[in-house]
Amino acid sequence: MNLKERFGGEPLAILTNHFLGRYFETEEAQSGELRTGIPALLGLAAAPGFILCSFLFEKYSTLVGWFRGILTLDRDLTTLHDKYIFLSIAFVVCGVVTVMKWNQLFPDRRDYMILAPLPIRPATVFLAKLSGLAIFVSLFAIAVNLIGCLLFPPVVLGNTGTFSLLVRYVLSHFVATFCASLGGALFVIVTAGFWMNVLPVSTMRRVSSWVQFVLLVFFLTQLLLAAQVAETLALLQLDNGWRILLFPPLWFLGLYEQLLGKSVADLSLWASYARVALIICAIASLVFYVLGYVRHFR
Amino acid sequence: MSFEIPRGQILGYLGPNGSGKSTTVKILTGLIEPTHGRVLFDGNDIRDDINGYKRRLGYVPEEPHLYTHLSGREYLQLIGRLRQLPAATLDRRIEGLLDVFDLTSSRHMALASYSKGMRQKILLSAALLHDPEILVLDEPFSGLDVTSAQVLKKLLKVLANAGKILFYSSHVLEVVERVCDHVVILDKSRVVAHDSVARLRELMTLPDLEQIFAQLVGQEDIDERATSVLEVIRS
Repeated sequence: MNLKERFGGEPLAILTNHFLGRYFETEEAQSGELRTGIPALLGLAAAPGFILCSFLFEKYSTLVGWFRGILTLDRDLTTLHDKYIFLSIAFVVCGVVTVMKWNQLFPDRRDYMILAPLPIRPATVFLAKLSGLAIFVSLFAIAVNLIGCLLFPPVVLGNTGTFSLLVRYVLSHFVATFCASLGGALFVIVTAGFWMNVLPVSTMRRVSSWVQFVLLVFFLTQLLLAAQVAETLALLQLDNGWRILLFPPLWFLGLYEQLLGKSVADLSLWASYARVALIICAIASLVFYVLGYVRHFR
Repeated sequence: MSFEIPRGQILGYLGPNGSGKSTTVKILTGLIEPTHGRVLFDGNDIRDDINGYKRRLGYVPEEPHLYTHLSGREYLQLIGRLRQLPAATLDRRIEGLLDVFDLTSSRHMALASYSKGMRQKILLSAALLHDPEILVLDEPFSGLDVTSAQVLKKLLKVLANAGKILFYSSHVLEVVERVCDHVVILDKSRVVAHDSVARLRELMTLPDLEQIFAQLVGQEDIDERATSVLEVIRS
């Protein structure tokens, strides 16, 4: 049996595409409604990155700086604030989008009732659902961060950097913001998976909306406090206590600076938080996904 | 319990709530594994090649589980593609089935906007799409309009005449009596009767399946129960 046969071959691709499409649709869409479609939703996710970059043109412009009498700009220090905002948006948007798709994160009873009588291996359904979710999260992570990746580094560097530095900046921005988005989504998946596997189905149904409420409050608080947290970054670096743990985008800021090769000791610690959190969330998501699949699909 | 369905036969499967009908349907469709015993198809245990068996199986579930964001046509396309039917064959069959079941005009509408009967027709079409050898039907007439119900009754006979195996689970005794060649009646997870409707009528000297069913599953107190309901709601 080759790999294609073992993992479902064509049915895997069809189902992955189906599950992915399902993430972008309203479950109870009525006949007259126009479908929102994948490009429209991704465009919506990309908008904040574009708006933020357009505001930053002026901040980093050497010409505008000259008119204002700012002849030297410490770009490393000044960018921390903006990087934190980008990371917060990346973290929050993907987290909120994943909360919005709460009911579709794991294989459910509907999938079971429709797909189980068909000649498809259960492993194919599992892989397709997991792949669909991974592609969905990745698409949003790319959409949210792509414009920032392309515009922020050249805006910041202006005429001060080399081409190799620009490439490194773009890659660092992409990896850090993508990881922040992944972190936001995985945090929701782990939370959903945990409660789904711990609670009986009927209790989960009742508790579910409250868990989503708490998650949304958490994410929106991150976004609303982002500007204030960004203003106090210097203080937070000195403090480095438990408060750092409350703001996950800070961890990814550490990762960003480490990738750029500009990380001081305190930010390396934040970067290590990001790495550990991502690894734990990825493993926990996978474990809960397998357990959820066994519990609800088999 | 043990029973056999030869090709070309429609077997009606009857029993009160909790008698084990749904469990049998789930076992026959491969949704659950039996704790004891086995299901043989052409002499082979279906568990030996469950996907091979499912390729030859069509199933109309009692509850209309559908991906309601898809249109009727998209849903049938999804099922047909997952059954790996060739594209041209699939398109031809989808168009044909939508036409037969009067769904052509609503084929692009989301299933969320379909009535119960329309959803039932989509489930029937999905079950027939791959020309199955065995068809398991769980309350297939649920929500169907009069004309569609008549078409389905005739269709079941046509399918049986074409040599297909039909397993038909239902509560609607009048339809079972009219459609099925043989019936199995369950009570408390046991088979209490397995014969042709005509022979059961003859053996039990009762005029119809409803009375046979009531006697076999001990439902003699139906009048009394109905009267009790009225007394309760007036109390």
